[in-house]
Amino acid sequence: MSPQEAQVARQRIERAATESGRTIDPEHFGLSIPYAAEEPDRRTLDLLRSRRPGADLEGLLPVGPENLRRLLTAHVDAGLSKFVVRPVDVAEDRHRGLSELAHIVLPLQT
Amino acid sequence: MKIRFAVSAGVGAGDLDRFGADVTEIEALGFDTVWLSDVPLGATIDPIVGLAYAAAVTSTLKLGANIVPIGRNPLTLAKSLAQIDRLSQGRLLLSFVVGLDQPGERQALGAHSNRGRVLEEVTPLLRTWWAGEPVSHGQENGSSNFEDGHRRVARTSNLSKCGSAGAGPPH
Repeated sequence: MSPQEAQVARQRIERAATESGRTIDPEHFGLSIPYAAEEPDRRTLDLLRSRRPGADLEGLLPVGPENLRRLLTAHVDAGLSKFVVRPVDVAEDRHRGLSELAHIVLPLQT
Repeated sequence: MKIRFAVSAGVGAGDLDRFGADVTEIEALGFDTVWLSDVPLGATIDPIVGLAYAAAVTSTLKLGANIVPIGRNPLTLAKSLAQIDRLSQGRLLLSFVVGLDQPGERQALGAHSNRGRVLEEVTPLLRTWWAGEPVSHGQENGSSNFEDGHRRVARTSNLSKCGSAGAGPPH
């Protein structure tokens, strides 16, 4: 889901809640985001394309630290604040992969 | 807004062998939460097993999961999750989802074709049990009545913190 789609979804949820006389804690909006440290293989890309034909892949699967940081910042601007990051290419050195991910995203944690 | 990050773990068959090491690493690196996904017929770690295991090998990490209530008995689900919350001293974060409806799930789990309706039926039941209130359910549609079980769960565990301590990201 792109940041634009996430913003629309958040607003829809808030509207539906209001119409039902309910409220949603604004802290509760979040998203699960896949992350590829390196250019994903063709199978992963084909799977993404089949699920979301015509969608901008950069908004769905960020590749590399800069793209992940940029996408997360855009989601925060869209009103989301809780994220699950799902590494799709498990580094051979799992420790290194998790450390690099921590280095990218944890400075954004408030 | 509080911005928080979780990392997924226990996703594939190979991940099971290093699940404990991954979870302790995720805590040591300073992530807020480890997040498990519920894929009933997949190699993904079962969230009840994974959350309980993670609770035992960590001390501050929040323990998150998507739960697909389809094919699970609501009462035992309520009890298991409540006890994991107690064992982890209130670190549980949950989101309830309809799941992926993968091929074979309906036959294997006896899953209802309207997954949204199951979710709408089960979620208030879980909330009521966790609040320690009596549950009277199923009398109209002929499904089982959980009246007897709820009091045991209510006494055993209290999930009042769930949903207010931190905030679980919806999947």
